[in-house]
Amino acid sequence: MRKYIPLLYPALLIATSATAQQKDTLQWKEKPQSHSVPAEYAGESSVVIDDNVQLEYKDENKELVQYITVHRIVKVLDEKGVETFNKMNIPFYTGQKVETLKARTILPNGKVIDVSKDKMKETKNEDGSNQISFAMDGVEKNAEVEYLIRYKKDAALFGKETFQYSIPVLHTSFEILSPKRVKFEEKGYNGFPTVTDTLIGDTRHIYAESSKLPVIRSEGYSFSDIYASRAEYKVSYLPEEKGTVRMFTWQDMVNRLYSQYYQFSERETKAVEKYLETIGVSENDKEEDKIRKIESAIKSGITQYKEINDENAYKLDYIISKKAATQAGIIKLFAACFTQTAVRHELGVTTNRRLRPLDEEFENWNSLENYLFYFPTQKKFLSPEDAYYRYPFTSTDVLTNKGLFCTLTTLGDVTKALAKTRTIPYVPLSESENNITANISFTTDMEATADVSYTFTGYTAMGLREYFVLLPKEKVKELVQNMAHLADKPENLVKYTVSGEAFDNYYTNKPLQIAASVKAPQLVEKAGAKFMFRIGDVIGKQSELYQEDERKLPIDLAYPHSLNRTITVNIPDGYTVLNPETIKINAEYKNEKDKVTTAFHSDYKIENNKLVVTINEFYDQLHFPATAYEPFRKVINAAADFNKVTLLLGKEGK
Amino acid sequence: MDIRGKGEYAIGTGCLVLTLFAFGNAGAQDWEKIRQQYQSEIGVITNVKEQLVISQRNGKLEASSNISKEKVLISDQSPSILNTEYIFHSYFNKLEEYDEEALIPAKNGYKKLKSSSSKTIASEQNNIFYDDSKQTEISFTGLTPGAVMRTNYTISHTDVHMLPAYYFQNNLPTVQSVFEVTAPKYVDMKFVVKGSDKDKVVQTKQENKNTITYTFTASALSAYKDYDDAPSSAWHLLHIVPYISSYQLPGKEQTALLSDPAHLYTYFYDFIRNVNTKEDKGIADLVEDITRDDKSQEEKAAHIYQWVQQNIYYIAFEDSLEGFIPRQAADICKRKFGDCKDMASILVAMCRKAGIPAYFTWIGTRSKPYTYEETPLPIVDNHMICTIKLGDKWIFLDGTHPLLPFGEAPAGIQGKQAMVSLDEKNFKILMVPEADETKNGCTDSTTLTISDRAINGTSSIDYSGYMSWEVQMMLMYSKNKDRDQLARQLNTRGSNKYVQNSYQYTKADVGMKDCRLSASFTVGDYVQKVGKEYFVNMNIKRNLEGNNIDTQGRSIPYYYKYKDVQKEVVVLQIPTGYRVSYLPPKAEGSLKGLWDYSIAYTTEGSKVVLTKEYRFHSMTIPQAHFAQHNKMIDDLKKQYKETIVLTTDQ
Repeated sequence: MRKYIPLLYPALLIATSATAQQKDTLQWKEKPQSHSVPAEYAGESSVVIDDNVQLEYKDENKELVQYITVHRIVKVLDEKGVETFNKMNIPFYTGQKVETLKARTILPNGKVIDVSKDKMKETKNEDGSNQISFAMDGVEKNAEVEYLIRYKKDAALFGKETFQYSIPVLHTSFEILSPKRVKFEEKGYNGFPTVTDTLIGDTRHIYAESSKLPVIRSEGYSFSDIYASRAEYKVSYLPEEKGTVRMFTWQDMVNRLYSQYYQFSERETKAVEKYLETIGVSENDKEEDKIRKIESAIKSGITQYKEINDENAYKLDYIISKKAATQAGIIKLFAACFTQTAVRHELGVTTNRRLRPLDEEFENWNSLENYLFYFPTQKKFLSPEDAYYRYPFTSTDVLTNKGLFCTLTTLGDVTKALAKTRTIPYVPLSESENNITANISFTTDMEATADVSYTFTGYTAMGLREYFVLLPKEKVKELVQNMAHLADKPENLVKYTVSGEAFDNYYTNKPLQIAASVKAPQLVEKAGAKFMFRIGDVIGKQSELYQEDERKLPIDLAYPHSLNRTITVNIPDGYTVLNPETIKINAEYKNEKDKVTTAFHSDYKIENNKLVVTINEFYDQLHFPATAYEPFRKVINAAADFNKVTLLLGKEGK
Repeated sequence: MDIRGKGEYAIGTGCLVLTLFAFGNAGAQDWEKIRQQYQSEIGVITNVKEQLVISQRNGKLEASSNISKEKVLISDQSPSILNTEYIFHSYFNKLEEYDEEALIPAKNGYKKLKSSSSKTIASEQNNIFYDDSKQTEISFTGLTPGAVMRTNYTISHTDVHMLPAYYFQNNLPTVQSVFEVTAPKYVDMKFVVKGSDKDKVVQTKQENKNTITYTFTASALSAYKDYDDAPSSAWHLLHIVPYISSYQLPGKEQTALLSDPAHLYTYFYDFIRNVNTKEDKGIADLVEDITRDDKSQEEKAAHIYQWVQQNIYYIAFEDSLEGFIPRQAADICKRKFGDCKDMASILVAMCRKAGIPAYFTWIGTRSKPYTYEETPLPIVDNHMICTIKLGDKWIFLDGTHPLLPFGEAPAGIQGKQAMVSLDEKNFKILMVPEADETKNGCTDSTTLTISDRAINGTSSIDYSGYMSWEVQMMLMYSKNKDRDQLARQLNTRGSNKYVQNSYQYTKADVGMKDCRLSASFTVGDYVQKVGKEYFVNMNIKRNLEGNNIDTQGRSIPYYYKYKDVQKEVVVLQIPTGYRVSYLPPKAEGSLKGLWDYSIAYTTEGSKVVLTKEYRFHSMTIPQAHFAQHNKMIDDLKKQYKETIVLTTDQ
């Protein structure tokens, strides 16, 4: 199947139109015609001729059900196009009923070959993820592949559809049909039109279309998915039942959070009380200590499972005694522990910003999958579901995203939850450092040896700590060999120590440290009577953006971080560094407030035959407009340039 | 490389690590001891045992296996990492029943826990679009460090010709691993031990009243390990291939099942017996059309091969016997797709129609460590091609490769046995030759000028043989920006500050299909300039720099895809007013019979010329030569550090 690799494109370039008139884009023509492809797409592997999605909501037996119809025609232009589209995997889930599935190949000469039912193979999985697989007969270059699927499912009140891919799309349409009593809203993103509904008879219609959507490719330093043309939708009114009351608002969402996570039975409350005692939380603890003790105990002591086959699995007494919980159970346990220890907190939820940043203005409940706790006194956040992260470092998927939080106010016996959106800030730059300290000496044969320390704090330690904690010892050695890249083969890693691996080190932000003694003969190259010392290799290979390439997407970074390096070179007796000035490299980016948020600076001093090089590189901004690409690129390349710095060591006076 | 496997039938192919089994006879004290002994691990398999039983019903042999496995969780994290057991099964190895339990450390010993859930889902294999392999996942909840997990399941083997091999190792260290086979006395069982550390296997044989029990035990096994640049794990993982050579049911005659390649052939022939038995007008017209102007059989065969390569696309469906029986050529021709057997089928049909002797051929790729003589079993091969005979010459045609020249075999089947089906009774085992090194490789030429600290240049790489076809395959499937990036990766030199200003790609669509990539480029900050001197390292490409073999525990050879010769010429224009004040000496090295290199610097007028050549005479480096090989790589790396010095007197 095709790859979904979206991007932002200037909205002006996308010819869009919005009309209330329904088009018959779902028709399976008896005599399909071959389409011609505009000359500008001749160099592509395939082109989507038409991509139509219709969501039809109907009342059946007093229940709202949904029919989804997808109709696509793709023209394949080369071998890759053929190999991508000559087979189909149509996923569907248990509970969804496929009503119609038609597929055919239209050859360039007009001949049509249908895929017969007996050639469609169905795979049913016990996890509910099923698929229908079939090959398209006779596909060759310039053929068209067409399919239409209509299936019935439980009505989804929220959702999104993406219409921009790694292949161009000539035309696309999105349609929602619903009974008069259910009013949807649709919002288009990245050039896709926003359309309101029209009531025709007893049916509400939303119809939006878009033409000539260009290819979007993934680009480095960008969350390309979020820039694709897409439609989002939600039910906003139930006019017959609720009149003009807006439905499925953020407040409604928060009410649900409250009723799901804050209803505790007496038995549960008692179990939690005992649990808090066992894990050593006392009333007199400072609030932050309570948070840490609770988090550390839950994350290291309760195993999280995707599902648990037990009707009691969501009860806190069960969770505590079995040390097992689902994600929801974990969140509920956190909520109970914070409540019972009087830690001021708000439960919140948001989307993964790499896939879809939360739009405060459009209450789409779809993909609200990242849970958080916010502590108003501390002004810090906690990720309850990520067993390997610790307060105040949350998953980087939510940083700078907006989140929806549940503030609790109690009046007498009545507790109310109120919705509040907050921006989730990142922990300051200084808390996430990836540093290298290296002390380099030379043997009499001019072979380099180094005592080197690599440290990681905050977000930069995420991912790494998991490896050190979870890997068997022998694998840890391989990992150290990879990280201590100055030792270019196992024998050259003379000795090493690793410290600060445990997850709880996030609380004090004690670094994860690898200290190693290595032989690094590759750093020195002979040049006649002189020696070239590849000091740049001490920081290792850096990412680079040297090749000039047309940039389309804004820049997104995973987390703020700084990289500080101190390299001390013990210059061998009788030698001098002939070109120290090559060490000085500087590049920086200033944001719109004229603040330097991203930079690379390297400098040096020479004292007592010691050359001390210092490097400070940092990224204190997570999102940059596409126009910032050039200065941003200079910073990235400055680090890569330092990697190429080679010092010449020559005998004095020669 | 583009060789795709046909039906694999061993349980859990590709996921060996999870397929092995256990048996619970250890007690609480043993588990504690084991936890101590393996404390740096996350978990350990204390015991795994497969009991394969051969029996007969209604005069037919049957086989089924009972597998039991016991695992102890060790570290604090293991309950969250190791809580799921996987059972792999398929049409040929059907899961009949399974059971599981866990023992949780409690105050007085262990407490039984029956808290698990299971589900069966499709198990995906690489390159196969649709198949019938499945995995059943059993997840335990409520586990704690020290918990003991036990699973037990039964697999029935649909076809006694395809008994799965037993692999001793697991994804975790294994205390004891046992393969026990019980067969009636009238069944002649054969066992072949494969992989590394064969001496770890202790064999015993016990005669019972009517049966014989063969037991193979290996103890204190490390966790499964994979090696880079090795054809497949079947080459090094310790395993036993069991098979039934022959049997004699009471009162019946001796029946040979898989006693030699001829019996295997008889078994295989049934798969192709009914393929292409009917004449098809579509195929006949097509062949007529494709070969109309051809005079020789060779021309006809070449055109037919090319037509299949360009018009039939690779899709693999493997549903039960679909993994073994080729489809009818007429269907493939209409549907325009097929897997390796289907490509073989249409090639055989079309060539025969053109009057060329053509034959279905089974073959194992280099990922298979077996021969038809040692193990006359379906396990030997995983691929099918078409073999034709032109005069006295045998030619192998692999339809799955979209641009291999006619007459060339894919790299992945070099040196492998091909079982060629001549007719119902006759077959021939041929050896696919290894392509000579002079046919494959590249010549890379660069001319350089210095501009301040940058180098500017033009380069061209002439690819031939396998290397050319690999490059063409990559470029064939990438266009526009993807192709620009790929070309940059192939052309890059100097450092990652390489900027490709322009490039050109040309290829020959006939003959040996050579191709060429040329480019103009700039590499900034490459040259050092101090005072009156330039320092230039002319080793802008450093072949084999990362080719050091990790020798730790490795006994299997290091593997190259093919033999080749790689040449590189770098010509540097000396800046006006400068002369060469240091030129590195010549260097060469040789690992006798395996590979060698030479490096030479010369000055020719105002130019410095660096010439390098690497010749690979062998596709493998055996373990005995690892140390020498690594020494050669170290020597090469030293050579790559040599820098020329250019000096001016002004």
